[in-house]
Amino acid sequence: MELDRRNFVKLAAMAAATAAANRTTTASAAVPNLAPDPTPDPALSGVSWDKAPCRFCGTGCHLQVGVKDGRVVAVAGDPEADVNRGLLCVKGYHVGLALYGQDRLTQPLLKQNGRQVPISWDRALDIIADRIQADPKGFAFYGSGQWTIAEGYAAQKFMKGGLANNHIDPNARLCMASAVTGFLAAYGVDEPAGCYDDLDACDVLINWGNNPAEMHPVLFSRVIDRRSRGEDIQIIDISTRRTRSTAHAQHYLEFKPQTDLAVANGILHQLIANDSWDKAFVEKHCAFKADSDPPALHGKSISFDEFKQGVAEYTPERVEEISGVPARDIRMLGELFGRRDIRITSLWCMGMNQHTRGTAINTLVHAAHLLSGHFGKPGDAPTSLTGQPSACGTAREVGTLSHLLPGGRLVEKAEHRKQAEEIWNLPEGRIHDKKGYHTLKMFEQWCKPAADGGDISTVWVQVTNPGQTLPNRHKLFDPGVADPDKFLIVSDVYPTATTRDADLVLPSAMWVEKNGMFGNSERRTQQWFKQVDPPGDSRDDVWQTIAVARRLHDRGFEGMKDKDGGFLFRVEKEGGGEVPIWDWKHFRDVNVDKYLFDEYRAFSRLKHKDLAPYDEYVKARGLRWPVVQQQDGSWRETRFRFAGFDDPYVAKGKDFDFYHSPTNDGRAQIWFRPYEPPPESPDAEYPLWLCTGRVLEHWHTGTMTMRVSPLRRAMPNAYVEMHRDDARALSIADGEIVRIESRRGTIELPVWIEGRGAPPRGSIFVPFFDESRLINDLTLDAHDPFSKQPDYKKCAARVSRIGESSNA
Amino acid sequence: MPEPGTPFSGRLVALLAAAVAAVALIGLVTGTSPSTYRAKRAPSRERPNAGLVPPARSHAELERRPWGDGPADSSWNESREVAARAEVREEPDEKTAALAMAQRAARRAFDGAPPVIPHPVRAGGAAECLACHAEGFALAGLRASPVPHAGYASCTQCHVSSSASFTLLEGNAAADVETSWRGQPSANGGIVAYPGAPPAVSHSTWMRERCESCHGPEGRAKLQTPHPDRRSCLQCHPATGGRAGASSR
Amino acid sequence: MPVLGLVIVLDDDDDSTQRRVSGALASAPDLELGEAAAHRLPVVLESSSARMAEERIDSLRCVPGVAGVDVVYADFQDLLTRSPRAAAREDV
Repeated sequence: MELDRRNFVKLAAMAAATAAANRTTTASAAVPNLAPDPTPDPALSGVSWDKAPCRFCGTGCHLQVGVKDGRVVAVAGDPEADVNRGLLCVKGYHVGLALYGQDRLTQPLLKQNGRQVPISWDRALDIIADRIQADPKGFAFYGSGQWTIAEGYAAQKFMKGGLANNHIDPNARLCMASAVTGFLAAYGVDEPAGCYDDLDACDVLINWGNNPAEMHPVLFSRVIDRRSRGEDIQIIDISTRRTRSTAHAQHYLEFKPQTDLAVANGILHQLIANDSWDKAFVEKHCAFKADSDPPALHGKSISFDEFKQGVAEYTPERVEEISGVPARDIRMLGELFGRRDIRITSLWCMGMNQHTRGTAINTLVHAAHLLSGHFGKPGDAPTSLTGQPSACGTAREVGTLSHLLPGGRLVEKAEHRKQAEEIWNLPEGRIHDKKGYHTLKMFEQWCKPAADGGDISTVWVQVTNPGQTLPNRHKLFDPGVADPDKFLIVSDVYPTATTRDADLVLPSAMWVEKNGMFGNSERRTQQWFKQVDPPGDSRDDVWQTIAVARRLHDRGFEGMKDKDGGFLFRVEKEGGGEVPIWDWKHFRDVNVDKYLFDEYRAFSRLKHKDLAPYDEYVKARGLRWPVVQQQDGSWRETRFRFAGFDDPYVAKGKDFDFYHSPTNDGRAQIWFRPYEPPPESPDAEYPLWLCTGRVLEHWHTGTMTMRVSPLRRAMPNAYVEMHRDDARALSIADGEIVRIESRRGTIELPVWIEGRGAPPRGSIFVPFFDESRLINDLTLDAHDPFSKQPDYKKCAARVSRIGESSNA
Repeated sequence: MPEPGTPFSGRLVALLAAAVAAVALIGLVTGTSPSTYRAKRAPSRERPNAGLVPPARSHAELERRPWGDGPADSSWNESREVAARAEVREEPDEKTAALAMAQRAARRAFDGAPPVIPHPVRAGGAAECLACHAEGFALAGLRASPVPHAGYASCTQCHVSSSASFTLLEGNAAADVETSWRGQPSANGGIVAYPGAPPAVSHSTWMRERCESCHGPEGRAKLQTPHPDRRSCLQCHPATGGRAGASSR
Repeated sequence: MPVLGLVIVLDDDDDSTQRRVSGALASAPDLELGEAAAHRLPVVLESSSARMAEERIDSLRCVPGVAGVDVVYADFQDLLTRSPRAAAREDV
């Protein structure tokens, strides 16, 4: 018996050794082991977990949020999420800490004699209702790509359906607007056709003025981690400054600011010169466009020969002359796009969008992909990324822009207004037929005295921080603050550069303190449930909007009633009877998010952005629209739009169909758009290019991340990146605090030479997260003619030593 | 190796086959971390991304930029001043496991959070980090932990420096945030099923699949394994938290 | 008498290295060799004590052609007495 046991043990030992020896994984490709958990983890005992998308960028990573005793105590990447597969970035791992800064706003504050003093919610609602009733047309709502879908939808309905006032615009105007106009001009419908799956399949990744290593770290590592698994991926960085993303790129193409248009035209030129454009794809699925006179979003149709003539100028040598990118690199790009055996994905974000020619460069990058046929196959995609978690879901899809109604509808189209009035059960003609003010115009009109035609008297800001992010702040923010007749209402979670100047501050719940839904960069709609209580008397933004609507309703304001006399936000209990959701005590008696989302769904079909019922999102780690119900009742998401093999709205047998084509013939538009110089360039007086942007550690204006210890310690304040030779020429030492000036403002910052990024000679870079140093005092408010998005990436500036004359 | 079954009856063969399959599965699932094979191979062949590690710098340059392009720079532990500034300094002998855990916790916001880096970092290339952290080392009071998770190339995506390496504006030098955050602490030791049983792993093994990162010779003294030659840790120490966050949804 | 399952990692995965190492170990009475997979050779080691097993593993690491040895299975059924090391482990 002993012998048997021993043989048994030896056999088991050999089996284990043989199994281990036969493992085929290599060192670099080790896959994390996910053995089932037999016993509870003692480190995490008492912690309950639930899903939520990250609060920060547009990537839309899913987290598991660990809650113990009513507080968030841990965060983990969600291994079941397609987007991030268990990985996060440093901001995501620390997002839970953002709830617990000691200076959370916990009660409404009213400015009286220059001081903000606590008041009751009841009083706050009365003040807002008073302002609106005194001047309903002069009331504006400034929202956010961080609004949850329900928050944006409620604000949209409140303004356009309730007040018959279209002055509602989100901060996405400063962020995504040019991507939207780019998609509309090329495909007739907004948002990317591809998705993150392209990142797993591409052979070449081109970053256009984009630094995903810091801004979309999880997407960037999704590509470069493929290299660790032995895959060969070429990364091309087309940029005006070396960044952390450059460190991973094989090719760095440095262009002079604004000349990305010449680079893109250079690709188009090469495709034609080499006769390597995809004739079959173009002849079947594309048409050509150019700017019309006067300029319009959809321009005019042109012939292929006219297109050819347009790009003929952009020979590699000519592009080198304009952009500074060597002709051989333009040829290299042209050859890559001309190849049929590789897959090319382009990614861009603020570099192309915050651009006075933002729409133009967006359409040109689409043109490069369409003309070369690098479109619609996994790995072949022109994809814009969003900076905010729901820029797509709330700003673009809910349509909280001043010219839109939900689901891609236009306020200036009678048919679209009628559809919205029907879904909202409003009397015909309720919705105003002129578009409202876009962001820059809204604040311009707010800053202008009423006597001079400044017809915006009150702005309500939710979930954003225009006091820090508006360009040219001294022009677009400060005068409104100084004018005693103008009123600023701000809903936020911490004191910010905007709340400090607000007349009325409303404390809000954030992230997992409320129910919510976001829509990320790849058309993925994500849902989460409230997991902890908001602090003090802070309340959900969606409740704030509905409570104001109810206050107006109770005062007899007709707009807050539907055509049957019911409240605009009427919620019925199961089995009948209205739930008074405007009363905070009853707000959570029902899931208001679910109610609003299921109403909003009805809008999503027109542009084939079909959404599933709310409960489907509860079960999923997000679903990418169009989400279409199958024969068996299940819901299927769509990864590749317009592509016959995946998109249910492409007729059987077709390989592609651009079914919202601007020319109504199923064709996408290949644009020619010439390079044009920027509105302000460096000169003798202001000899440097100033570029602004973000850093890995901080999310946008830092109101959340500056309250997270590891992030703040790593990146405590702003700085100016400068080239060593420029510093030497001005006798400036690394670390010295210098003065930076533009025609619009001045700021003092320490110099960081060869720091996080490295700008070339003649240019400087300043991050905008630091509320103690507002770089937007210096930036330019010139904007794209179609998208109305301003350019934060280039203006003229100078640097001088402190204590010396600034003209030295 | 005898043919399976030769010394046994047919019935036992069936039993054995199941047992072997189970053991093979355990071997497959928990098996040795493949990266442990590397240490024993010739360094010249195994040094990851050897060609990408920055070359040595001139003395003039070293003086101007002691950290060069990152800790791979040959001068990095020669300058006491730099070491002090970087907070990479000799740590007091950890008298107890609790102290070791406390020191460990100081670099983490909660159990499972990516630790901060106690020295300046510069560019984003993984080669610079892996020059020290691929295999790790412990030398003269300095310690570089081997990376516990293979296959990730963007180190600075999750790990940031514990202090800034550029000029701080007034008030920022000592500034920290005021917060009421209380992260979930790490557990002190795992469950021991019976006296003499190998203790269970007391933490999630998600992103921590290379045990020697903390428990190997480069780990904190009180966290080190007493048997570093045994490499299949999970074979004896049951993993209790395969990952954090098994939610109902 | 501990029984251990080992994986011997070879310097190279060519046949000659495999033959060389197998040849050197074939006659050892305490070893049973399995089927090599690429540069990994599974082996069962029988030893009289844990200490002897450790020493034997160290000696295997010195065999020409061997890059490393990993223990992937161990049976200590016969050694139920607690070693001081095992005690030390518990206060961690």
